[in-house]
Amino acid sequence: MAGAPISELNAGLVTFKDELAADSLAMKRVEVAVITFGPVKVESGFHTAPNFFPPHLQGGGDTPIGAAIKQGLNMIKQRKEEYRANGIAYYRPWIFLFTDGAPTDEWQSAAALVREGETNRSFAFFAVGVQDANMNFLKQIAVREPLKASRSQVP
Amino acid sequence: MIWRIVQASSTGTSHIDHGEVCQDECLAGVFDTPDGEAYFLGLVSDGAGSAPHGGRGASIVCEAGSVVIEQWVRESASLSELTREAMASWVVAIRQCICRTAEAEGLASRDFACTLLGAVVGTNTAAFFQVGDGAIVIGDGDGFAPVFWPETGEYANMTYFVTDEDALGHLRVEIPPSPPDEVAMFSDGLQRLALVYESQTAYTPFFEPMFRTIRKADLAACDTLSDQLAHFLNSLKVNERTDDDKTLVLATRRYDREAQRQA
Repeated sequence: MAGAPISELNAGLVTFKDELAADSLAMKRVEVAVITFGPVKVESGFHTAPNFFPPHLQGGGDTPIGAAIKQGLNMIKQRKEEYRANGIAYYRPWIFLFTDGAPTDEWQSAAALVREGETNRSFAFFAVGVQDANMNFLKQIAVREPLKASRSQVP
Repeated sequence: MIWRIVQASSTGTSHIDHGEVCQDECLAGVFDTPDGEAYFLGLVSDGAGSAPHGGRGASIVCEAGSVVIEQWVRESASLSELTREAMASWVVAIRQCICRTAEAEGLASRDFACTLLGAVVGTNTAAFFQVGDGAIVIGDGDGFAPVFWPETGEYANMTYFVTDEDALGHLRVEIPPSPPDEVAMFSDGLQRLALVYESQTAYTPFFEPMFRTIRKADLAACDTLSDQLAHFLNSLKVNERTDDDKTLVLATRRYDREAQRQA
């Protein structure tokens, strides 16, 4: 991802934080982690909403979506284990995948894990296509209908 | 035996945002057995937000629950015959009411999904039952304790419903050796304020000030206190910590019991 899509995504992350901050209950309940791929990198591990500061993402590299999804699923699994070990009640995690491209790695096994997790209600997985994203591919990854990101409307 | 009862429900802020009405229901009162023993009967139900008619389910089970239990008391003559089997039979009868409504409207029982908490407290006997989350907290003068710890699924907002196929598998019943003189019943919207999760105990500072106000209140003042409770349940202080519907029933006979002991 580069150019307009990446700057839109960065703006979106800031809006996301603003929306969280406006919701006192969400500020108490939500934790956020961010993973980028190209290559796969944990930009920020799980932080409570007040301690989540939107990272400024740079585009570039290839698009290992399969590995990125697996990284996300593992982080969620691990976080749940930490909650359980500490007696913390939690809600069903949401995973959002944002991309403007198509995968450059093996993604079929990741798609199978997403289907399995949705069936077991381990998480909810949302795919969001940015600009010229391959929506047909996203349909094969997510059980739920992929979303198409629209550019923020400036009046 | 005089019971002072204060009760209120308040719509959660997330439900208000979605233009929904409160899906909690409660019913509490004092009734007499055929041989003249007064008993407290309390029912609280939380309609599932995920079910299209959860709120109606909650109304139906509270209404049906009071009819079923009062009828059982009339036929049994005495509360001393209260058994775990009797409570299971109530839940079966309450489920049948939901099934009949669902069938008549061409819907499924799960469309009316709701939890159910029940309490029957007489002079020397008490019985409690529960399917799903929310809690019943009892006080005997030495503090407060939950009768059952709320049963949830993997997620904090998942639980079991009286409308589930295996509801009896999640029915919990308790007949304590001696009946409490104070009972609080509430839906899951208040769990985080009223319970201490680390120790699975009741949070006394939540209950004690409220019961202190009610214990010696004029019976006629209980309606005003219920209005005040509704106001509290809808206050910023509460809504900052929960966006769910919340219901609280408080019942006490401590003052009356102490007066009788002293007489």
